[in-house]
Amino acid sequence: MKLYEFQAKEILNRNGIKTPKGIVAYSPEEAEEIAEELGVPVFVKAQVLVGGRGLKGGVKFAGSPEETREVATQIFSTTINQHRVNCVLVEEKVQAEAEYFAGITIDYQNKCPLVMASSRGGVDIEHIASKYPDEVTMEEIVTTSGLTNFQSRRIAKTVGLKGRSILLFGSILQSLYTVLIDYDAILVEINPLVITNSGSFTAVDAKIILDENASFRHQKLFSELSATNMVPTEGSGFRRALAHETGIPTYVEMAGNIGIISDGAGTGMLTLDLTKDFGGEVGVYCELGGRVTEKLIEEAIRIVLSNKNVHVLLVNLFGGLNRMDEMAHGITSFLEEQTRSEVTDRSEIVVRMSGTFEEEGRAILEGACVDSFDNIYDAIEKAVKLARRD
Amino acid sequence: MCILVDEDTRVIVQGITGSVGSFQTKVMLDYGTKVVAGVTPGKGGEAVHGIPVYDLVEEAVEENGGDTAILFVPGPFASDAALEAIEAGVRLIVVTAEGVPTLDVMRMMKTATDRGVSIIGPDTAGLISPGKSKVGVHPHKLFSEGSIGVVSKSGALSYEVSKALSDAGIGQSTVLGIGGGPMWGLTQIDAIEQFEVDSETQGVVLLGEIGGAMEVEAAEYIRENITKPVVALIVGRYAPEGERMGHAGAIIEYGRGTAKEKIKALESAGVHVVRGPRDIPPYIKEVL
Repeated sequence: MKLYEFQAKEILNRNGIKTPKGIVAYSPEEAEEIAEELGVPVFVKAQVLVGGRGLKGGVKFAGSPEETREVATQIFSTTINQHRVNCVLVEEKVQAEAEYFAGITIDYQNKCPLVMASSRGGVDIEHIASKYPDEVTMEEIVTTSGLTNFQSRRIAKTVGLKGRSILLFGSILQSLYTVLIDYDAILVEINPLVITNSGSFTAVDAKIILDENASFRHQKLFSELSATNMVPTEGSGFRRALAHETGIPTYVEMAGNIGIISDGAGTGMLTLDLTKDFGGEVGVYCELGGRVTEKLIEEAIRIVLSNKNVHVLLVNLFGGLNRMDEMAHGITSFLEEQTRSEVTDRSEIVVRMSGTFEEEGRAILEGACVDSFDNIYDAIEKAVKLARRD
Repeated sequence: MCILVDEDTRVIVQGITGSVGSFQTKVMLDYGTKVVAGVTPGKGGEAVHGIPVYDLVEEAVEENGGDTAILFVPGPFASDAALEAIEAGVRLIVVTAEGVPTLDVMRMMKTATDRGVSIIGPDTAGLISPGKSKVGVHPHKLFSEGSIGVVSKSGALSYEVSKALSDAGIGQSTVLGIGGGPMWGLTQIDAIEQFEVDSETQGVVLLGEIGGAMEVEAAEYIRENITKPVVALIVGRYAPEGERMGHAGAIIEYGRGTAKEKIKALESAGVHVVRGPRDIPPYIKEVL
């Protein structure tokens, strides 16, 4: 779960990292009041969960409270990579002597946390790393011993810091590591981390991503944070959010008219690939994972078909853990519900079913007059043919 | 022969009294897997399908001599269960759970490495050596005994391909699911290395997908070390960038981890790469 900048800064603050004075505003008028209170000049920064807001007009400078209102009005009316701006952070301007990068992420290959630091802060770390690979320091953290103090100081030294700054930068890395562990974060990043003329470090921008798999350890935090999230009320964003809320692990919309539901990532992607190879266009990719209940598949069908671009639904199930008799019941109860509510504009449903209890599943579908295939290619060919007809 | 598990493998099922654990234990027993004990904290003394249940893994191992553990334990509790199995002295642990917290996976993997224990998973279907043993959730009717080794990130994709092989009269030595990532215990390279050494395995099927660089590393390894024929299928050729396609590790980020780059690396290492399951049996018949 990605946090907004202001939320990330609150967490850093609580862990001893200095951030610019700033307050969140939900309207241009509020932004103006905050600018008066903080004193100008200020930065007005769109709070969105996508990168690249600076280039899209999401960060603006204001020299007076009136100007703050004006730029806030502009920001509230823009969308940044399709994300509406719900609130802005009005923040004092910090005089920077130099800009650094400090972050801890997960090195999935080596299965340990990885510290990244650079004296070239202010731009995307991917960009720094590709353009100036020698100027990014990376150090693995041994999971069992954690980030040691000396290691933090060594990293500070490697990025070119001297004297007291070595200790200050080192303690910032320590705080970042504490946040990573205490909050189950998978990314904690300060960019830029500026050093001011007084020699202290301030986190001017911050990014935190929390591990959703660990939400059970942070239930209060997660419910607080998700309450602030903007959930779209219509369209593909709404369907995606609804799928997520229903417990569907993966829901991705594309441009075509065939909806795919699978109970495995590998077979789901295979179905997508082969459908395209056979000349079909996929509109929804929905993957349910290996613990699918009758209810979940029924809900998944409902959500996928609520996308009106989808005219053909291709359900490809290959059960190991999932039982095909249960899956078949889920499919038939969706169809019964359609009959009950007298839905006339029905989409075509093509089912492929193999694996655990496949005979039972197939018999249930047969009873409800749904044809099912045993071979994936036959099912895909059928779905593509149906999709081309309309 | 086969790799990792065979008819002598003695299996302990952690989470045996849950609905999935109990059902899958029955299926494994029916298949002939030597399930020797089960563990569910607080349910010691009970029995599931005639298999004794213990509170602690160490008790189960001490009294029954298990060497392999399979975990039907939810993500939040999986790493603790794995650490318990490591402590009890098993050599191989199959972690089926999805959604194990990142920090937990890192700790579990580090401990396993330090203690010389192999972990398969997390988020895996496990493994099957057809006709000998199944330590996993595979629909085993579709598998048949033979000489093709299969290693796959996805469980269901390995079923799909094994079915295509079996339907064409080609059996499998071992079919191993390594899991959906983004962190893995055993890797594709580990499996391929063992298939190369295994005298019965004559060819290898590598089933990969978008995300990360494991297939590219495997390609490099195959080029340098593998003499047996390898055929590969990489799924996610049409996956949009930036979308996680169902496995935590299956995502193209910053233009990296695409199917295209993996296919290119494998082909340049002499691996035959196909577009779908039905293209695999003809190739194997041609080269063997």
